This record gives sequence, C-alpha cells and structure tokens, in this order.
Amino acid sequence: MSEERRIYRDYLLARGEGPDRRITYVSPELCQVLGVSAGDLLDRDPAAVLRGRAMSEAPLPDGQSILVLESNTLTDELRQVNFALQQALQAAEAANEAKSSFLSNMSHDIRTPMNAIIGMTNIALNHSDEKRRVLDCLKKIQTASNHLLSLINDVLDMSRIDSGKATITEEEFSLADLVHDLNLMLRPQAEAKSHTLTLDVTGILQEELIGDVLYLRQIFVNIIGNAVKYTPDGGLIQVAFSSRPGENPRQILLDFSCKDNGIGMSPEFLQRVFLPFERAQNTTLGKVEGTGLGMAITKSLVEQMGGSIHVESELGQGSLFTVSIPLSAETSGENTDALIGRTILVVQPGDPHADFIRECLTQSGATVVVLPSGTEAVTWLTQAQVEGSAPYAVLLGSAIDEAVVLDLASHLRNQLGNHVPILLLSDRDWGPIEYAAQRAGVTGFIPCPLFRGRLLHALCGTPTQAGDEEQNDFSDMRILLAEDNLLNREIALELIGETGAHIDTAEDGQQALDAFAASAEGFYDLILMDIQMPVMDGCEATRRIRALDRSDAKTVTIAAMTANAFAEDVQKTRQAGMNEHLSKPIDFKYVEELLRHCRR
Amino acid sequence: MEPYQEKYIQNCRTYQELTALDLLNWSSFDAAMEQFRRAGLLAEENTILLQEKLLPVLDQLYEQDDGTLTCLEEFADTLTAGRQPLDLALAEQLHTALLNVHRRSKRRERIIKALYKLGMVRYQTWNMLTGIDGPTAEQYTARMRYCFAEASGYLKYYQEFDEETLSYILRSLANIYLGSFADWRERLGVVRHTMQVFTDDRYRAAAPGLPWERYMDAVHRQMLSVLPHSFPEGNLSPDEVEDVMDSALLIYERQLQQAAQEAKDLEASRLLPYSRIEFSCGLISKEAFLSYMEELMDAAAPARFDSDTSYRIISMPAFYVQYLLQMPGLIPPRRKYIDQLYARMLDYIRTIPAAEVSEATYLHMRQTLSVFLEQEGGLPYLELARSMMLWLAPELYAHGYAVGRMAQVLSQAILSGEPGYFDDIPQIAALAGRLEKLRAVSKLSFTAGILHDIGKLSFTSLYDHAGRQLLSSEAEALRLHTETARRLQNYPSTELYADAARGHHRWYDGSGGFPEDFRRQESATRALVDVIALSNFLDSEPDNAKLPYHTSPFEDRVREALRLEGRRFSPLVTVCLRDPSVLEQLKTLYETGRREGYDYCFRHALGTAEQPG
Repeated sequence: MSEERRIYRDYLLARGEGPDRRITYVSPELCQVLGVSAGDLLDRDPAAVLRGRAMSEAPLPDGQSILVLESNTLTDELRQVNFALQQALQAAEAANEAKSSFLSNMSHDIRTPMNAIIGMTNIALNHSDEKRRVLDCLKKIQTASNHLLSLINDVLDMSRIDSGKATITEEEFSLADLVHDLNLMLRPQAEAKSHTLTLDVTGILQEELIGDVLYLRQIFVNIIGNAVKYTPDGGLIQVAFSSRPGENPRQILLDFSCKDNGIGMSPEFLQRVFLPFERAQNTTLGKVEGTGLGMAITKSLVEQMGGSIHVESELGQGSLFTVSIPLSAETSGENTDALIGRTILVVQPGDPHADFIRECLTQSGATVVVLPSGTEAVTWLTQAQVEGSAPYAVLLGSAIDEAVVLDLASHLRNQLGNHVPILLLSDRDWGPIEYAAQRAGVTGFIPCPLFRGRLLHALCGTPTQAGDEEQNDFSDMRILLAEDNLLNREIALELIGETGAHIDTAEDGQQALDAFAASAEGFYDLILMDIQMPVMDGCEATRRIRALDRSDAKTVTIAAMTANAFAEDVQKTRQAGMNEHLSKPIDFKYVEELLRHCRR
Repeated sequence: MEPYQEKYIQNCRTYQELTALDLLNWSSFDAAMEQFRRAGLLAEENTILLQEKLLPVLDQLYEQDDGTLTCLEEFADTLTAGRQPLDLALAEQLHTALLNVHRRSKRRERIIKALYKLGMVRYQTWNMLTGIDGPTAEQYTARMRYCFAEASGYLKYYQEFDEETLSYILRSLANIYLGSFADWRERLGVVRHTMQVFTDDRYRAAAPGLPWERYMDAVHRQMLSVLPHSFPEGNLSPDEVEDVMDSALLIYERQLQQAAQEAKDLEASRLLPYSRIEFSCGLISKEAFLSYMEELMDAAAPARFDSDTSYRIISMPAFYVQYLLQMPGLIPPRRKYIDQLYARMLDYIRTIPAAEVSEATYLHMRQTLSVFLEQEGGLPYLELARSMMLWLAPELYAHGYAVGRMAQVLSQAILSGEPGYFDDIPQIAALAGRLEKLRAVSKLSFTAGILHDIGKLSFTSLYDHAGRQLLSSEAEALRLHTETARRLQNYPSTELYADAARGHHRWYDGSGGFPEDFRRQESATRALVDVIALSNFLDSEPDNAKLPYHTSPFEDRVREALRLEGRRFSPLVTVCLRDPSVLEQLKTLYETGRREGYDYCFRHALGTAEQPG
C-alpha cells in the first residue's frame, strides 16, 4: 500500500470552531493508530485527542472539516498492529465463547423436545388403555417432533452457511411466483392470529429475476414469520417489495421491508437480534415457538448474497426490517399488441387492484370497464352483447366473495359462450377449487398480489376468438361418444369437433364396450356415455369397461350424459364407475373442461 | 300440458294432502299409517313418471318443437304456483334447461322470459331457507340475482320489445332488490333506481297497458323493507329518512283505506313495519316502539288461527327479542314477560288445526327458532325445538325418535365394555357411579337423536313436496341442515347436542361427508357424534322422511355400515353390529322405530303421551 493511501485512510471529521469543535467521525484505521475505539473518540475535542500529532486539515462543503494524519511513525505502526492483534484476540475469544454457547444452547434445545418425546411415549405405553391419555401424549409427541425437526434443519443451515458450503445459485425465477408462495405459506398463520397482512408490490420494476430463490424465500419467510409470531393477536403486518436500478443495466436492487406493530425490541436486544439462539421474551405473548436461529441464518444469507439487512425497533411499538439484495434481471417483456383496442371487463368490489389494473391495461392500449358487483357486470354484459361489443376478457377480482364468485363465473360463461376468457384474481390457494372453478367456466387464475407482468401474460397468453388457441386445441385427444339418439350424436360431433378432438361413436352400450375393448391401451382419453341406451345401458357398459383387464380400464374418464338428476341415480352412475355427471342438454364447455382435465 | 304432467301435478297435490299431518284429526293411528303407505306409493309413481316421460324429453331437448317447450314451461309454472309450491327443484331444473335451449336459439324474448322465471324459482327457494346466513345465503341470492340482472339489462332497448317482454324486463329490474345485501344502502340504491325507472314516462308510454300502479305499489313496499329487521334507531341521512318515510306513509294509508273498506282491522304484519320504520328513522323512541310491539302481541286472541294471530303469537316474539338483544339493558324488567310470550306460543302451536298450517306458519316458526332468548328458569330452547318438531314436523320427530332409540342401544352396548367411553364429555366424566353414567348417557343419546336433524326445520318446505326421489340439487340444499344446526351451541339447554347435529354426516376418518369444516377430533362430544352418525345411517333409508317404514332390508344397511367401518363410521361403534343381541334390538327398532315415533306424536297431540327417552 502506498504512503499516500495510508495517509488518506487515517482521518477524522470534525464540526465546529475552537474549543467547541467536536469529532463527528473517525476512520477505523485512525482508531487503530490511536489504539482507541471510535466510540471513545466521538464528540471529543480533536485537539485533545490528536495532541502531538501532525494533521492536515481541509474544509468540507457540509461545514465539517477533515483532518488527515500526516505521518505514521514506528510507534504508530506498533500501536496499530497491537490494536489489530487485540481485536483479533477479542474476536477469537468471542467466537470461542459463541461456539461454546451455541453448543450448549443447541444441546439443551435438542434435549428438551427429545425428553418430551421419550417421556410422552413412556406415559402412553403405561396407559395404553386410556384413550384420552394416549391421544394427549400423541399430540404432544407430534408437537415436540415438529419442533425438533425445525431445530435440526436450522442448525444444519447455520453449519452450512458458516462453513461456506451454502452455495448461492443463480437461476431464473419469477418474483410474482415467489411472492405468491409467501402469501400462501404465511397468510394462514397470520389469519390464525387475526392479523392483517398486506403485501405491496407496486414498486416492482422487474419481475423476472436471477438469483437463489430458495434462500430468498427462506429470508422472507423468517422475517415475516417472526413478525407474525411476535405481534399480539389482531396486529398489522405490512410487507413491501420494491426495486431500483443497480450498478449496471442488468442489475437491480430488490428492496424488502416488513413492518409490524408487535412487541418490538429493546435497544439491548437490538444489538443481539442477529445472534444465534436469541429470542425476545414477552409476557403478553407467552412462550413463542422457535429455534432462535432464524435471524442469524437470515443475516448470513443476506450477506452472502451481497445484500444488507437492517432493523429498527421500539419496545412495545413494533419493528421494521429492511433488506436490500442485488440481483440480475431478465430483460424480456410481454408483447401486449393483442390488447390494443380491446375491452376488458373487471368485476372488482372495493378498490384493491382496480386502479392498478386500469393503469396497466390502459397503457397497453386496452379499454377497461370496472364494475363493482356481479349484478352490474351481468347487466353491462347483456347490453354489450346486444351492441356487438362483447369484452375480450373478463377479470373477476379477489374481493368478490368466495361464496358467489363461481356462480358469477358460471352465469357469465353462459352469457358469453366458450371463447371469452374468464380469469380469477386470487390471493388464496386455488388448488382446492380449481376443478370446480373450471367447471364453472373460469379459464385461469392470476395470483395476488398482482404483478404487471403476470396480469399481462394472463391476458395476452390466454386463447381468444382470434388469438392463440393452443389451450383449446385438442387434436391430440380421442373421445368415444356413446349416444343412441341420432340428432344428439350429430350435435355432439359438431360441437366437440370444433375442439379438434377425434371422436368415435357408438350407438349403444355394447358397441361402446366393444370399441373400447378393441382399442389399444390409452387410446381413448374420454368416454361420453349416455345412460338410457338400447341393448346395453350406460351404467352396465361402464361396469364392464371398468372390469376389463387392461391398465386404462380403471383410469379412463367416463362421463355420464343424462337429464336424470335424481340423487340416487347420480349415485348409481358413480357406483357403476363413472367419474362425472353431465346434465342434458349438455353444455359443451364442460366437455372442453373435461378434456383439459384429462390432459393433465 | 301433457297428460303425464297433469298426472304428476295431481299426484303432488294428493301426496301433500295425504301427508299433511293433522294429528288430532286422525281417526286412528293405523288410519294415519295407511295414509302414509298410500303416499309412499304415490311417491314411487311420481318418480317413475319423471323417469319414463320427462327425462327422455329433456334428453333430447334440442330437437323438441315449440309446442313441447311451451308445455314444459307451463308444467314448470304450475309446479311453483299458489300458496304452497308443488315442486320447486323440478321447476328450477326445467327452467334452467329451457334457458339453455333459448340461448342456443338466441331468441331474446324467450331468453328474457326464461331468465325471469328462473330467477323467481330461485327466489322462492331462497325464501324457504330462513336461518341460513352468511356465504350460503349470499350464494343463493347471487344465483337468483344474476338472472334478474341479465334480463333487466335489456331495458336499454325497450322499444324493440312487446309489452309482455317489457313487463318481464321491468319486473326483473325490481326483483334485483330481493335476497340479502351486505349493506342495506346498496338495497336502498336498487329500490331508488327502480322507482326512477317506473316513474319514467318513456317506459310508460312504450307499454301503457302494463299495471304501473301495481308496480309502483310493489316498489313502495320494497322501500319499507330496505332496512334490516333489527336496524337500530337513527343512522339515516335526511334524504334516506324522506325516501323511506314517503313510501311507508303511502303504503300505510292505502292499507288503512283498504282495511276500512273491508271493515277489518289492519293486521299486525302491516302495522309493525310502519312502526319499525318510524323507530329506525328516529321518529319514536325505543321504549315507545317496544311498548307498541307488546301492545300488538298482547292483543292477539289465542283461540283464533288466522295468519295475523299466528304472526302476533309465533313470529313477533322473535322480532321483539331481536331488538332487545341489541338493547340488553332493557331485558331484565321484561324477563317474565318474555317467558309468558314463549309459554303462550307453545300452547298456541299445540292447538293449531292442520288445515290452518300454511307456509306462513312454517315461516313464523323458523323465525322464532332463529332468534330465541333462553333464560334461566324460562323456556329452554330444547323444549321449544322439540315442541316445534312434534307439532309441525312430526316426520322429523319420528326419524329422530328412531335414531335416538338406536343410539341408546349402541351406547349401552359400548358402555358395558368400556365404561369411560363417553368421558370426553365433562358432564359424564364427573359422574362417579356406573349406573348413573349409564342413565345419563342413555338420556344424552336419545335427546341427541331427537335433535340431530333439527336444522331441517329451517327448510321443511323445501323438500319432500312431491314425494319423489330427491334431485341432486335438493340433496345439496339439504346438507345445509348441518349448518343451521349450529345455533344449538348458542343455548345452554342444547349446546351438548350441537356437534352431533353438525357432524353426523361427516366421515369418521375425515375423508368424506359434510360439512368439511367439522373437525371431529376437536369435539368433546365426538363419541356421541359417532353413535348418532351410525344410528342415523341405519334409519335413513329411504330418504323420504315422511314414510314410517323402510323399503330395504335391515341386513343391507348393516352390511353397508360394516363395509364403511373405520372410514365413515367409528370402528369402536360398528363393533356393536357384530353382537347378535345388539343387532336384534336394532333390527326391531329399524322395523318399528319410526312408527313408534309417530305414535308418540299422535298420543302427544291427544295429551296422553309420557315423555319418552
């Protein structure tokens, strides 16, 4: 290192004049030279501190002065080295102590649930006749096991990170997917404590990023999870994601903040919050579950990714965690030409996303009609159809009551016909309702919080009358249609034929059975079976198909087509082996949904 | 209409007459049972009529000519006409099918008419679901409302339609008001908009032949109902007060005039809404309003069985209590009075002749069951519910009786091997003596059996009119009885039975059944739930609750129950089905349980019955 560089590293800043002058900053290098910590030097008179030392001084634009040490004598060098050695010794002692403390805590924390498991098992064995006691023991064993597992996982994570074995992978991921996952994981926990959890993503510049999504998820889950845990019931947790340009065009800085109105942290605890096994104790919350390693792991991961993490907190008021991580950004954008001149109908009670949707879509050249209720949407749609201006797509907002959204979708689908996409915005896990939603006429889902890219992709990527119809192309699928009525057969052939699926027909149950038996395994994707047929009825044909000795006999989807809606008869079709029940007159959008379902 | 449709309708009417349970007018119990047997045969005939005649037509609906479609429409209309609909679910299925056909043909006038009619059927269905709150009520409301909303969307093109079609459009617009609203101001907005349209000269000029005054009258009545029943005083803006009071005064004056012309007094069901609106608008005090309600109720003559008296004696206590619950400080001085109201109500219910029992009676009863104040030393909710069942829905009591008796047999069998089986229930665990425990569990099981289907009282009118097999839409609606049963947990006298009423259809292993949110493991009375679940299954065939007999062998039920052992039913309970002595007792109850239940209802009506269980 050159003499010049050494000189410029040994400096301090001061403000004021004469005896009122005070030190406002000291560089670490100067601390080493002086052999004193920065805390001991701040706010002192520089003249007293630097007695006997030659300093160059220059004014700064903000009114402070910079004083630079001009020379470094041998004594100074020795002092510097001593200071460094002292610091190293302290660090080593601290690390050793930390390791001992870590092992001690870990040992204790592992033994505690293990003792519970062993103890409860013994109790259960000794009272095996007492159902209530055994049940109680099993529940406790389950709780202790889960806790032990998370402890072991966290310890392994810590160990991996500390030993440098935690490698940060660089892979493409969608920020929208990540936020959606966080929502699915954490919202139920928040709701269990009646918290209000808000997720703000309006500040996102780029959604397709490159980074280690697993570790990112872990970081955010740890922080938000703590906010949920350390906030008394009925609290408010505000999470925000935003981004800003990085140092180069392909880099962005992802900013994350999590603010809660929970128990907060004392200044003393703030100093230790990122240390292993540190957990806030608060009588109002009682015992808080956790291993005490989450924040330590979080900090390590953030720093390994080149980011930073800060926390502000006030005891009894809450905390604010902020994380900033540099990531690379994908530059591809969505082609939104398909939306130019189109009308999008949005049904969104209240205002959670209406403005954002309107702004996104208007920028893409679409006209947006936002209506606050399903009733108004149905009325509007009636008039739009009379005037020949049916919408390009319909968005059903996340604020529509869950109880009615599928009924609304079904009614709109009946009005619109098959080709207009109906998309459902949802901040919940739609897995449980996915099939019912599709049968009701929902074309797809858009997860919330709402991302611009996800919204545009859903609209530009969904099939329309004149657009991409990959989803409606069933030319690779085969249907066996068993229907004795000639006109019904012709109508079915015509309507299902539009999807491109290949259709074989049978005029009675025996023909259907013969056709299936004669086909290769897996040849048919779907069998549409009328019930009332001559020679052999649909139920008997289904029973015989299911009894055939071939692998697809049990798995092929067979849907009953019948006007018979008696509960007992529906039950009979199920008992015969049919998977679905389509009411006549058949709405062929259901057939399309079935085909999509079979394809999966 | 086609001959089979006429026959079906006639059968429905006869079935309803045969199963109208005029307990006091039965010449003998055996005569009543014979009536039920004939009703059962009619039910079978109706099912066959539909399967052989109607379903093939629906199978090929697209190729039917206009004449057939018109017959179907007329058939559906007849099924829903009159004071008591004959078959709502079938009517809904028919109107839905017709709407699909008309959409395909794109004939707007027919689409509009079909939408209106489908909406009206759905409204009638919703109206019968008193006591269903929250998401389910909203769902039924939504289904109805979308039909009306779509039809009313055509108002903009009114000049293109004839008067008849325009009347459907206008009525659809007005009917958007029907059903539940999350916010009463939203409903007010709908009514205001309707009023604007109905007073618009353009539409009147386009259809001068329509009964505009009758429409306006209906809209003014809607304005009276804008405020929820228990709306507190105040909280309305001056405009809102003006709108509501304008309509209230108009209707009230017309009603007074009409009553004067007919030389009758105005009914309480007309007087109360006006007074309620005065109170809600802050024009009278809460004490004055409550006093007025008391005056109306006290003026009822228990010897009369017209709808007005029924309203004053059965329904009004529910409204009265609903308001008091919002002003709990006013309850203590009225406790005794409330007890007297309930006692009078019970006496009244016991004496209503079958000919006077109407849909309105059931509605009043459901209202009281929905809002009740159980007081220490006063009428227990348990007694009210039991009485309502005995008098107004004895088929539910009979089935409950059979289930309760079976539950007793099963419980006793279980306890003989495992005395602590029911000890999850604190009241049972607290009993030291074995005999004491046995008696308590026996009583618990019987009462749980009686009450397990209490939720069905909320919509007794919705199913089982025609006696035919249930349609899948009805089966789905009937599941709601486990939701309405939730209210049992609100009352000390019934809270122990709430889980059995909610969870008896939920599978033991949680893999099926309903309601999905019932967590068996979280229930302290899960042992009771398991016993009731099996007992209910054994007695549940056929699904026509009114029939006092079963149509399939007991052995089939047992075989099916054992097949579902460990999945639908607790193996700790089904193990009893392997005990020959238990099986024998259960079989006897299978064959005679419902009859015994009906017999109890009959003797109770005569005043000769002892408390069973």
